[in-house]
Amino acid sequence: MKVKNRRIVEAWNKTDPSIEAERRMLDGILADAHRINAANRKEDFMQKQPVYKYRPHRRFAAVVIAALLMLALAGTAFAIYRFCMKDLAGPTSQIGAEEVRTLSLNGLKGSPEYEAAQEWEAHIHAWYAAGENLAAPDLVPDAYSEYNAFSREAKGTLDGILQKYGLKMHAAPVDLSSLDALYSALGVSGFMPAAGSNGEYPVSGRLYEDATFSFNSAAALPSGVDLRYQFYRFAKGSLTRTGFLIADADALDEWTYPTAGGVNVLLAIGANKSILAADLDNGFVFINVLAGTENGNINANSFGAKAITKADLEAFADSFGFPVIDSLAK
Amino acid sequence: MTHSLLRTDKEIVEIYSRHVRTIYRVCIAYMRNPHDTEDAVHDTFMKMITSNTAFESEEHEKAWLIRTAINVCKNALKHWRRKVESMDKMEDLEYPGGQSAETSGLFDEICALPDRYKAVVFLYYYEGYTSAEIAKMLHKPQSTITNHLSEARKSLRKMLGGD
Repeated sequence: MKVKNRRIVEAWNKTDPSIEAERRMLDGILADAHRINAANRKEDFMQKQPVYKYRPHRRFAAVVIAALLMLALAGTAFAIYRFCMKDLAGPTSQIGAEEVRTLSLNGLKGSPEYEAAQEWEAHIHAWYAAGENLAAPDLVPDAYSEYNAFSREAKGTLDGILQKYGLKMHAAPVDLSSLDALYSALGVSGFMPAAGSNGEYPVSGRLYEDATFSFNSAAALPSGVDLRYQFYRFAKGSLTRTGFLIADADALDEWTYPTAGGVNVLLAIGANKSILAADLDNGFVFINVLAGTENGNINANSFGAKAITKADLEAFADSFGFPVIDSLAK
Repeated sequence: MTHSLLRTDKEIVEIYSRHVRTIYRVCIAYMRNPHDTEDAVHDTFMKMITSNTAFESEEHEKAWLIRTAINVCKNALKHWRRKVESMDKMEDLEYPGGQSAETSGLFDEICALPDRYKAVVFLYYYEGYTSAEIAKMLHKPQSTITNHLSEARKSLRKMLGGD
C-alpha cells in the first residue's frame, strides 16, 4: 500500500469535533428526541381513533348507504373523537386526609407544555415539602417569580425544564378587568360570549406577551342562564404556571362537540362542574365552568348560578370564536 | 403504531458517545464544513432514534450509523443547492489537535475524491474494515469496493505526487 495508512488516520483524527461541538450536537439531538416523543404520543392517541377515509371508487350504492348512515348518525357522526378527559389527567393531590384527582390545564398529555408543567410542579411540591425555595429577604421580583422559582437552584431547574421541552418563559403579564380591555389589548374583538352577570365577583384576567391569557367572567346563555367560567388560552411553545384543577375526570360525562364555527371541542359535565377543552393549532383552550347538572356549582350562594344542561354547555361552546382565538397574537 | 422513541436519554447518550466521532468523520468528508457536518450528524442520530431499529451488537449499531450517515450526506448534497465552501477558508473547522500542513493537505485531497470513494477510503484505512466487510455494510458487491479502493489510491497517489 503506497498511500500511508498512518497519514490518513492522522489527517482524519484532526477533524474530530471539539467537546463544545459534541455537546452542542447532543443537546440538539436530545431536544428533538423529546419533541418527537411528545408529538408521537399525541399522534399515537389520535391514530387509535376512528379514521374516515375517502374512497373515490366505491360503487354508487355504497356511497348512498354511507350517506344514509351518516344522516342517521348525524347527531354523533361529526363529533369525531379527538381526545378525552384522561388525556388531561394530572397528578393526584393530598388535601388534608383526602387524596383528590386533578386535571392539567396546559395541554394534552404528551405535549411539551403538559410534560413541562408536570415536571415543574413536582419540583415545586418537593421543595415546599422540604422547606426549600423560599424567597430571600432581598428578593427582587423577576420573571422567575411568576413561576414560584425563588432560589438559585429553582431558577436553574426551571431553565433546564424549559430547555428540555423547547419552551419559553413568559414576561410579566398585564392585568385585565373587563372584556373590552382584553379585546383592546389583543386588537381583535367578538371572540368571547356576551358577558352575563358575574354576581359579586369582579371580571379579571391576565394577558401575556404571546396572547396566552386567563379570563374569569360570565356568559349569558340563550336559555337565560348566566354561567360563570374561568377561561385559559395557552399559546403553544410557552410554559404557563397554572397549578391543577381539582376534578375527577371519571365523574364527568364527556363528549366531543363540533361547534358552529367548525372546531371540535371536548365537553364534560358533572354535578357541580363542567369543562370545555380545545386543542387548537397554536394554542390550547381550557375552560372551567362553574356549573353542573345539579346545584349549579360548588357554592351556589356565592356565584348565583343555576343548573345547566348538556344543551347549555354546547350553546356555551358555540359562543366562542375558536378560529379567532387560535390565531391570536399580541 | 408503536412509539418511535423507545430509547431513554441515557441510552441515546451512550450510543452517541460511542459513535459520534466516527459519524462526524464520515460526514465531514462529504459535507466539508463543520456546520453542515453537525447537521448531518444530528440527522443521522435522529434517524436512529426514530427508526426503532434493534441492533444485534455495537458493531451492527456502528455499521448501521455509518451507512445511514453516508445516505444522509448524499441526500443532503443531492437535494440542497449548496454552496460548497473551499476547505481553504475553513478556519472555523474545529480541530482540537490542530492540523499540520501535511495532514491538512491530505485530508483536503480525501475530501476532493469523488463521493463514492470517500466512505470506502474511510472505512478501509481509518476504521480498518476489510473490503468484504465494507461490501456487506454498504450493500455493494465486493468487486465494486475493491475497484473503488483501487481508484481512490490512484487519485490520492496522483494528487500527492506519487506518494
